[in-house]
Formats: sequence, structure tokens, C-alpha cells
Amino acid sequence: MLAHRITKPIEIPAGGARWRIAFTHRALLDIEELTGMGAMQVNLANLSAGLLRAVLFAVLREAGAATSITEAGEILRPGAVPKIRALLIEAWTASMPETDRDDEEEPSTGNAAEPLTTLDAWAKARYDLRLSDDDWLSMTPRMVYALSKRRLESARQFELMVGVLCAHTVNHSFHAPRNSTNPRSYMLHPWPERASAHSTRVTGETVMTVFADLLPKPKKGKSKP
Amino acid sequence: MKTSTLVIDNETLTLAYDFNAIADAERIAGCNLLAALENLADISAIQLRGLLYAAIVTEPPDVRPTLVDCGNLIRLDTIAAVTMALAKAYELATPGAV
Repeated sequence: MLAHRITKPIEIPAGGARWRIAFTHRALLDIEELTGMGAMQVNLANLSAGLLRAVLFAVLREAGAATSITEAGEILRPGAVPKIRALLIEAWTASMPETDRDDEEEPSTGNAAEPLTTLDAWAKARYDLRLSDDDWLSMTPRMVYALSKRRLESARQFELMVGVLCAHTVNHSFHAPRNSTNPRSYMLHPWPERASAHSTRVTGETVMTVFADLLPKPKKGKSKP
Repeated sequence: MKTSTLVIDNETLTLAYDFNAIADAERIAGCNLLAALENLADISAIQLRGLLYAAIVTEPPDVRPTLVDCGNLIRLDTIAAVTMALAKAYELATPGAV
């Protein structure tokens, strides 16, 4: 499956083979069904035996292993438990969206965003990204997030074009504002402002480079002996 | 399945590590037995009772003692023997154990 191929490879041995695991939405739904808990509420670092067995079973089944839940429990021998739990945590991290730099720079409103429920995640995938149920089920949250980032970038490109038109119209209209408006101010989803773009440190080298460009350059081949 | 034995009141019980039994016992015991398993030195009475319940091997399996029966086996004079027998059962189940 594609999710298993583009997610960081993490393998768990079962039934004489090694299975590359990933937390796709199908695996997450299986976990919800087996445990009765929201998949996002599962704390892999502090799992009970029942939860650990259910999570292992779900990811192995999604990877293609014909393992029953009892067989999944048999894999969890005393020495194997910490290792398998560590692998599951690693696979979880690889399957979930990374904290984005854009998100970090979003102004904090003081209200932490509620994590998406499975229903919300499905609705976003179906409506915003036009994914089929099967597509969504076989994708990890990280894959869906990558697509939604692409969609946002595409929306920003379009908004920028409209913003340029708006700014041009406004800035050259009768009663144009004294200070020209910026295309960015007409965008619904402007790119986050990078701190580095506005606060570049000026060093002696920067000044010398600027002055070097201003000075007349010596002409080649006309220098006197 | 490697087993350890626990003798209480002249009755011999066979104990073994079985993750499936532990996972199933969590629902009955109502606590996290995996956390107990990883720190046998610091477990609650509920967890110890649950672990004993999960570890008892019976033949046939349907004559397994109840959770309350297991609780009755754990007394001040038997608690050390129960803990040691459980630790031995888990040690034997660890790969590479003799």
C-alpha cells in the first residue's frame, strides 16, 4: 500500500515475516472499534495490555498480516513489549502530521485548537480534498495533511493573483489611498510572515557588500603598467 | 508455555505469563495490568489480584478461579510468595530465559 511505502519504514516481525506498519485511517478506525476510545485519545506511551494488543493487531492487519488478535497478544512476550511499544510510537509519529512552521507562527489566540474527531477528519477529506472513502482510509493523517497543505498553497496562489488586481485597482483609482495597499492585504489566507524577512541582521560585511556594488568597477585591459 | 508454581494452603497453582490473559483480565480487574507488569515492585492490590487472576493456568480453562477467589489467596502471609511466583513466571517467559 502507498501509505506503507511513503511513510518512514518501521517493521514489526509477526508470523515469520516482517511487516511495515503505518497508522492509516483504516487502522485508526479499527483501534476505535476495538477499544471504544477515540484514536486520538490513545496514549501509546501509557497503554494498557488490552490497548497495546488492539493497536498491534490493527496495524498488523492493515499491513497485510493475517494475524488474529490472539496471535497479536502472543507476539507481546515480556521482553518484546518495550521494543514493540517503541516501534508503535515511532510509527505513530511517522504517520501523524508534523508541527508545521507556519502553524507555529500563527498568532496565538489563547484557545488551543481542539483535535479533529474522526468524523471531522473524514468530512474535511471528503469535502475539502475530494478524496474517496477508500483513498482516505488507506492514507495516514500525515498524507492527508500534506494534501491539505498543497490545497492551501494553491488557494494562496489564486488569492495573490486576485490580491494583485485588487491592489492595482485601488492604488490607481480616484481617491487612491495615500499609502498604497498591498496585494497581501486582500488575501484570505496570506502566507505567514517570516521573521527573518523583516529583521535581517545588518553586519559590517553586509554594508561592505552594498557599498562594493555602488563603487565604479575597474575597467579590464586598460590598466597602466 | 513455561510455568512457575505457587503453593498456598497445600494447594498448588500453576502460573504462566500470557499476554492475552492479561489483556482480557484488565476488563475484569478494571485496571492497567501492563503498567503493573512493568513495575512489579510497586503495584496496587487491585493490580496484584488481576495479575494473579491472569497468570493462573487451569486445565480445563473454564474452571479458572474468580477474581474474588484470587483476592482471597492474597493474604499478608502469602503476598510475598504470590509476587515472587508471578515474577518467576514472567522471567521464564522472557526470550532467552532458561
